[in-house]
Amino acid sequence: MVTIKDLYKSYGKLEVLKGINLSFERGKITAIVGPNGSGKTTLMKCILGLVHFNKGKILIDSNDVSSNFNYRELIGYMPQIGRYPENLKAIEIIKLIIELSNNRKPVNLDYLIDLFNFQPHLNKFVKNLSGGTIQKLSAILAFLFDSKLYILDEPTAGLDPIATVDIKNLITKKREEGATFAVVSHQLTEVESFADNLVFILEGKIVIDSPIKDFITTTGKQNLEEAVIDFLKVQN
Amino acid sequence: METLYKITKFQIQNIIRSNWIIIYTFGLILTTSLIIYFTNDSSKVIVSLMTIMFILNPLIGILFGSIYLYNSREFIELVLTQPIKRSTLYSGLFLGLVIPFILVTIVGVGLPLAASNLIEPDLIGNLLSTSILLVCIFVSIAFLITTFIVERSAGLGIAFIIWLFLCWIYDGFLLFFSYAFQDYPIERIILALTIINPIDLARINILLRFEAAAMLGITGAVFQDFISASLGKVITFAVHLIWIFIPFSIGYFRFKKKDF
Repeated sequence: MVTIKDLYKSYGKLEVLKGINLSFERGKITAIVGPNGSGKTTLMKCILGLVHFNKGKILIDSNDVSSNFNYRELIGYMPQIGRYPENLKAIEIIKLIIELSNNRKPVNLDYLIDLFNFQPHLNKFVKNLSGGTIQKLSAILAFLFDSKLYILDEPTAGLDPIATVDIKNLITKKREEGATFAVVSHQLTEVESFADNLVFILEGKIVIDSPIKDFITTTGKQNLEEAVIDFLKVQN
Repeated sequence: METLYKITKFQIQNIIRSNWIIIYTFGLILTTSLIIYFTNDSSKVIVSLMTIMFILNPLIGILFGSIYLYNSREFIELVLTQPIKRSTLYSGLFLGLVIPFILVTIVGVGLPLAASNLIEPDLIGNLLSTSILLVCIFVSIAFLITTFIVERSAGLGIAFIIWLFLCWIYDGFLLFFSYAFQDYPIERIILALTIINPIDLARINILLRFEAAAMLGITGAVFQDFISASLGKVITFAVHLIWIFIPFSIGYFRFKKKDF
């Protein structure tokens, strides 16, 4: 689904990505994990076309992301912090994204409004929505269309436990329908509960790229958290 | 074109609902009405209104524009993840910011002026269009600043300094220059320097429309000598368009290459 070849990105003298080679398997959930400043978000932004990389290639279903912006209709994106124009109503933001989507059909809208119990918030102005409700709005915008690829940046941050379970179930449901996921997260326990593959980035380089189960077995540990910590200790 | 229209429409919808813009519009209506009521002399009304329209409006334009763009950063990122061109988003953001300001100027100053019947419609039109062009210039500078300067406080500081320079410091510099070189024939240089500054040019262009030109002293005399009223209008319009175009275009190319 996504192939990243020899990707480099630097901001001035600061090298953020140092030769990333990676692929996201179709129909799998890949968790992208790493400490703050390791390059996770920059990598996601390169895929989304928000950041221009210096060298390398990113292919999404054989579309080169550097040559055409239309590939973005294949992607649903949920940012870590959703901030929206505060004098617009939630429903107006949803309509804007639908209108900008190249005539894609918002097939999941009613389902998502029910799932997140969002009906009472649709006609509220963004400035009157709580942080958790804004996060739900971000989730609705990301899953509006039947996308082939979903990129989610800390999707459960700021959500209540019920909404957290809902979003995990939603991810699993979409995966079963054949969608591919790249999920940035800090929570190894959470990642273990729903992801198939683990990519661990450290200082702009991939140090782990493996199916989660295989990785835990190789290290001989009980869970992902212990396995990653053990791996990093050995590396140091 | 359709995408540009959609972005502009949503942007206008968001801005005209802002309490800030509503308060500013009513403030302008009130101030303009009070000036007309208490002064009741067309020359004095115009001179007073020029302070609002050529000094305050640009300040609000550059500060509101910069604050708005800094606050919209995350939303701009989200919109850019949709299948749209960066250039379309940039133009939509610009139009969506400028159009509410045009409406505010027309409603806040134009309506009370038109209702008072104190000033001839041609001059009201000239005053409004010049003020609108100035707002476009300062919003365009706000776009330039926010595409280059990531840090909000630094960007707002630079925005304020640019406004301060064009409104006040530049005039001080001109005054110093004409005093220091008073023994030399510097009229043409002063004229050129005045034309370069969009606010000075706007002030002179309006003042030349009526007897107050005499108040401008040497600049007014030089201006009247060199430039007829109709040529003045053309020059003002052209220079103001250049002032909109240059910051807009530099910002536009930067926005296309920018990392979010």
